[in-house]
Amino acid sequence: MAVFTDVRFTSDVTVQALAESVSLLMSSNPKGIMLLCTDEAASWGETFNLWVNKLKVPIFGGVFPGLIVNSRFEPKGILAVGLANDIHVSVIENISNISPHSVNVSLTSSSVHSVVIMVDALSRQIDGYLQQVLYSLSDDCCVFGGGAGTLAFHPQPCLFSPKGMHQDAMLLVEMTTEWDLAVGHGWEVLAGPYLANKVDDNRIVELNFESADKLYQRVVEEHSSLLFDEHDFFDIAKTFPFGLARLDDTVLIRDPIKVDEKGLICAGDIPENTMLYIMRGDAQKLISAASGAVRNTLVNMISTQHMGDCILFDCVSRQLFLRDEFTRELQQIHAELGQHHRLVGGLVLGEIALDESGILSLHNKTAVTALARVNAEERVR
Amino acid sequence: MTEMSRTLQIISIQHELAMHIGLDLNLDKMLQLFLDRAKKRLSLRRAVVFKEAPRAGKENDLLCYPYDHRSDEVNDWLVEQVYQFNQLDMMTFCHKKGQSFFYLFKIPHFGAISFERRIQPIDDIVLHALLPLFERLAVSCQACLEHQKLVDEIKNRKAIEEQLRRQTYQDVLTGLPNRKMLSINLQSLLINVQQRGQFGAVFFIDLDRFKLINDTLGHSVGDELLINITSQLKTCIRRDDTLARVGGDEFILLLSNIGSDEQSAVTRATKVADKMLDITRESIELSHCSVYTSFSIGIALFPSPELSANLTIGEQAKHLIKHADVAMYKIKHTSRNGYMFYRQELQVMSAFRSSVEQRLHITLREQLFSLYFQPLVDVDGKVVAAEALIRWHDETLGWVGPQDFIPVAEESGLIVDIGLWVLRHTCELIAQNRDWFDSGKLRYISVNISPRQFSQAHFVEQILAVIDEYNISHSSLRLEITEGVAMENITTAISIMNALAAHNLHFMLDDFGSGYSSLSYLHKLPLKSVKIDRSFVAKIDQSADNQVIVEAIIYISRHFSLECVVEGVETLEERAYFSDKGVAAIQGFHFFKPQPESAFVALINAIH
Repeated sequence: MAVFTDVRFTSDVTVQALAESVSLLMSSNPKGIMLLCTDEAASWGETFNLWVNKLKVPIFGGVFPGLIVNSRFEPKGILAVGLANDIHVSVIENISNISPHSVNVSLTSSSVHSVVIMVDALSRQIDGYLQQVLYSLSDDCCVFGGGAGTLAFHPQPCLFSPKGMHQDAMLLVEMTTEWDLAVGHGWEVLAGPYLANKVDDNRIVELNFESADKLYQRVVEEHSSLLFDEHDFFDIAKTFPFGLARLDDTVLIRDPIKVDEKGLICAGDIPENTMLYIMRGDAQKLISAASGAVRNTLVNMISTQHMGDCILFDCVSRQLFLRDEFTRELQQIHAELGQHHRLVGGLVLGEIALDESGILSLHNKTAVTALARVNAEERVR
Repeated sequence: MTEMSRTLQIISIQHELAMHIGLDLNLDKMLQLFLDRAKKRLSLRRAVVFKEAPRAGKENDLLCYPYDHRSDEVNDWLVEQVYQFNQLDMMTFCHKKGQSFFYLFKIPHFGAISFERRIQPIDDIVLHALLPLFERLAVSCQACLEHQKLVDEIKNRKAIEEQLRRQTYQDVLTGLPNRKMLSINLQSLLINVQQRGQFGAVFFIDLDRFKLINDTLGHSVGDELLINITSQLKTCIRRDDTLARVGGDEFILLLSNIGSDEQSAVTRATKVADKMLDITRESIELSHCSVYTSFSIGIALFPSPELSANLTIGEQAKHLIKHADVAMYKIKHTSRNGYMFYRQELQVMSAFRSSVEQRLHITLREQLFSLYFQPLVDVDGKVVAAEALIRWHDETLGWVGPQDFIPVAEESGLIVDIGLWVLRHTCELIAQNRDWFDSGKLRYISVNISPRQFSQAHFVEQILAVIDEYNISHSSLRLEITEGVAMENITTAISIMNALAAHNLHFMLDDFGSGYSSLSYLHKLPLKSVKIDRSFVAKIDQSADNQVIVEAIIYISRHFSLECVVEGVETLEERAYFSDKGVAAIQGFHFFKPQPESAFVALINAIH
């Protein structure tokens, strides 16, 4: 049995177009719907709420800067995916203001094999809530997802659930589908390590007891021909993210997105007193890492298992870096999966993935591909 | 990774985790911060701290952080491993279970910590680098425990101080401020009043008939009533006002800022008083019964010209309370269920009352009372009996009427001894003149029994003892009680009266019709006679309503075989009215006024 009952894409981003797409989708008898939309959907508001109240199956999703349909990148549209297996959608509201330790996060069923998480990328305390989710998981549960929102970085509703649209919230979508994750980024160490001796949540204030933005600027300008005074910060910084070294020698990427008088602001928390590397990358290495991760995952699949449909949450920052080469990344990932497999997804602001060590992290500048696991006898196309 | 990088990595792990030890003085929070960092930095699936402590219902003596540690197969296994590890003389140990590696470390003098890593083990070099951190963690845990102990001690001390404060300033039963707290608040209010130019008021509130309720229904009902009344009184006042309980059934209320002139203050205070009286218009519903009660309220306004500026604030406060008390006393001993504002003449009356009480003590000691006797006659005017009446002439106060000194005597308790003096003196007179009774000149002499006397524990025995002492015929003496005395506690009254009736000592019900007795009880009381109150007799020839009442009383008395005595006949017309009503005796100024003993003796001796 395929994991997706049907996939519908339309470039018209209106609730009417959505209704028509979903209406067609419903003929495939889905048990749930994943809805990915681009920026224009953020203003749907009450119109969407009225429509979703009449829907007979649970729905989840979000607003993203771009969509992925097989090997195509779609900068504008609605992607509606029918899901063959049961899902349960729950929403945690107001996550920036309520302590994650005061909220009881628990799964509704012991037969849950995976949890998809979508979160408002502008919210605070995301990592705290992820740890609470992790605590409630069984050992063999897979978790992946991404941050929703737009590149305008403007607080607005960006998540969909059966209750309507949400902002400053986290969606937990429990599934019986089993997934294998392929996580890869391709960034390599350029310089460091540097001690982040002074940090304020996601703002690096000092590195090696020196002003963080000054040190960063000096190192990057040494290794590139670009000068920060002559370019927009992110235009240069997108090529030189930070990396947090982990014990298994992997590196968790942190994207510096802004600089102000107090320091460097990153997409994601930076622990104080940690060691940071300044990374660099090039298009080929990034693309190879993303597709290579998929390849490795396929190789590790045991013989009785086969792959079904796939979901890709790719960092918007990679698309901004790769530009025209981004389509090549999608093509190579899809090629690894096999053209006959359906691949859907979106550009996300922060990627969520549970690694094999059991760490649930918010990644930056990383491609997370979820491969649905189906047994050989169930595989039907 | 190069060796240099590896070294840097180890140092950074140590530094990062070390900097996350001791970030909070709350133990749970401190450990949570450290564990969260350790999980991230070391790529752990789970990190749990176990504390050595007794755990209820479990054989293992280990608690664990976080407290919501789930009980499942893996966790239960882990707890057992940690328990075993704790018994060993090792600082670290590793278990492999399935795909997970469990690293156990001791936290000296505290417990142990478990790190779980999946798939890949932690390098030994890293493990070794972690060991010194747990010494530091142990110190931090102890610091948190000490801090918590200190916090608990401070909390306990504050709780004790609060309890002491409450005991010092609060009434235990109602939670209201007590007299001490009231005094502080009143003095503060007096100072403020001087500064702000606003009036205030002191209410002295007494619960009517509380003693009766307490005695008849029990103290638990009495307590419940007080609690109920307290909560209802609170609804009559503002948050800034002070309601205090200062005695068994006494409350004092302080009202502040009730007007800038006396008239407004009076208006405001009146509203509050009316609101309080409304509380007791209906019965008070308690757990197992409902009771009727009322308030007697005395009100003193301040500032008052009578409060001399020469007085200290403390003295002024005492005077105010006294004024309110005086006003309350007045209303309580007149109508009850009402309020009265203090005025100067009340103070004069109160001062007089104090003097009376003082002089009564002396008079009783010196036996300076006089006994007068008022004869009762039949319809033909022939003397048939007499009533003994106490009179008092004091060398300081002059003649003090019974209406002035009897209430004082009653309240002070002196009435018991006074009543006993009257009884003894009357019995002595009877004993000295037995021939009056033997010859039929007099049937009896009656003495009045006060409520306080009647409620004495050994009243019956006392009466009989005095009679026996003088060895008089029981039928020559009668005891008069008012309706109120009998109805206060009807069951007890019947019991006492029956006990004395068994010795041929009989009762007369005085002032009948003026109280609130139920006619259904009349036949239950073992009475000999009823005395119709003067209020029904005055100008009866002109009052058809009184005629109906009196004739009804006469009819009922006759029906229950009671003698009917008419009191207060003062005119010929009144006498004429009763001439054919079949009453047993008539008493009043028209026939005889109360006479000194010598005159009375001479009068009776002169009868043939």
